[in-house]
Amino acid sequence: MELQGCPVGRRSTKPGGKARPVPSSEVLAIAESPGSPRLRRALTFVGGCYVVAMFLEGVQPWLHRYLPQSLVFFCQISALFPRAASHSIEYRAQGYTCSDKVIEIDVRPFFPIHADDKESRFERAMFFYRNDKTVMEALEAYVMREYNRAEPDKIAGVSFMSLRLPIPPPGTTFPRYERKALVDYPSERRKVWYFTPHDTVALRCRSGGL
Amino acid sequence: MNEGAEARISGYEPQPVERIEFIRVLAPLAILGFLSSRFVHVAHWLTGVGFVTPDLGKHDYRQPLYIPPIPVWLAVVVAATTVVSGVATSLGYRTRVASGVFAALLAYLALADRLEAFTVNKLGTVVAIALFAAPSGARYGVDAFIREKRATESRRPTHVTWGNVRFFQVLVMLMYFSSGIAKMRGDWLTSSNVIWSHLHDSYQTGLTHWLAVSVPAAGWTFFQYATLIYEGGAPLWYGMRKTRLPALVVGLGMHGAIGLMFGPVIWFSLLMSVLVLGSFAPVAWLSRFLESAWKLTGAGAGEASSPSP
Repeated sequence: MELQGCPVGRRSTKPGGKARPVPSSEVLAIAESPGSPRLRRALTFVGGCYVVAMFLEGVQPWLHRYLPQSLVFFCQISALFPRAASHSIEYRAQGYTCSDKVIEIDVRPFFPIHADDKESRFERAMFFYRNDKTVMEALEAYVMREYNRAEPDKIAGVSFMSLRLPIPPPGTTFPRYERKALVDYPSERRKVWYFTPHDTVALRCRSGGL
Repeated sequence: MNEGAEARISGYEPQPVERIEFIRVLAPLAILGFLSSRFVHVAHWLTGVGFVTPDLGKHDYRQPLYIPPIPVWLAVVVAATTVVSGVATSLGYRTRVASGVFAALLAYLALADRLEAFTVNKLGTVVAIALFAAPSGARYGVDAFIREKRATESRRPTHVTWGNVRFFQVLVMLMYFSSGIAKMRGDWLTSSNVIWSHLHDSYQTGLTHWLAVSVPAAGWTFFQYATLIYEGGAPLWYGMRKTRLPALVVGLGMHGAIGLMFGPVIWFSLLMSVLVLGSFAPVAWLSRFLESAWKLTGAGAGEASSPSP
């Protein structure tokens, strides 16, 4: 650490008390950042560019057109909750068994990080990638693998869906949030985003190896 | 411009070292608190044991960089090293190396997996880099304690150069300001029920539910516009000396409410509170906190934070 003595007339503090003026004859001990003055100036410039980029990206995302995504990614830290929620949204999974049953799959044991809230990896995967076939197929393979590992009645396909739950009118009372089974919600609240085609389910069941 | 002339320009003068030290002590703990629930299940995060987003193979904002899963043993090493480097940064022990390692690992963890990348670990990466580039650990912490023991005549620094502190101050102000603008461009001016609409999902805590059924609808609308005024006017509120302290109280109140009402968001609230306090709280508050912690180490008893001649 580099220390620099600096006689200035300005304010400093003493512990447990209010800021006090420092006589101009008093020498402040200033800790310099590491590196040469040129490096420090460069870092100051980079820091300035970062806060400006962070600001611009929060107001209107457009920097990805000009900067690498991996840099812009770290600028996307503001602008949380800019919109009103139209519904409370949860994501759920169903499985298609080889015994011709459709069952709800509780995916929480397969995604133990924040299993009970919307920071769960399943919820996040559905939030970000519900329209991405590659990711949905990978998610399908993972859910099938984990489910079939323990259950005797194997599944050969899945459907992933969102539940769109209405928000009560402002000022009204409502019950505490709780996770209910899929069958407790009317079908019109469900929106299926991905499902395994029936032919594929039948083929997997015939070929075995689940 | 010579150094003296530059220092006379408002904003370029040295800043109290307490601001950097306060952030250095507490920000890593808030970040580690956020990561702790992920580290407990690290195999389900960074390795093929859990679900891993496949390589999208295209330019996609959801996957800025594809990093393949790592072996379980390596994930455990990454988690342990992140915790150790974060705690070392907080304690001010080998601060330069610790904060550098901490920053590098936070960047990796944020980029490795979009599913676990939240504001806390993206902002946390930036905070850690800034601490690495600053003379953090210069006055309080283990490094300073060792330096003082070795050389009793040495002076502990009282100030840092302006850029180290101004970075955090401008970061906080512009973060709020851009959030305020984004909210105005969103629904916050056209709908009076934005906050109310976010009280009903799995983030809901017992306190959230109790408040939601107790506070009249107009109360939520009031909170909504108070938040908007606070965030949209942040450069003004924090830029003017007279409004700085009230803004600090409002900001801490807002983050406190968010942390208590939105479950896992508490770590974001704590990190923001640390940044707001470190950037804008009266130096005497920060000094009192840091001196108390410093005295616990048995060092610097009775020493004032103003420089020894």
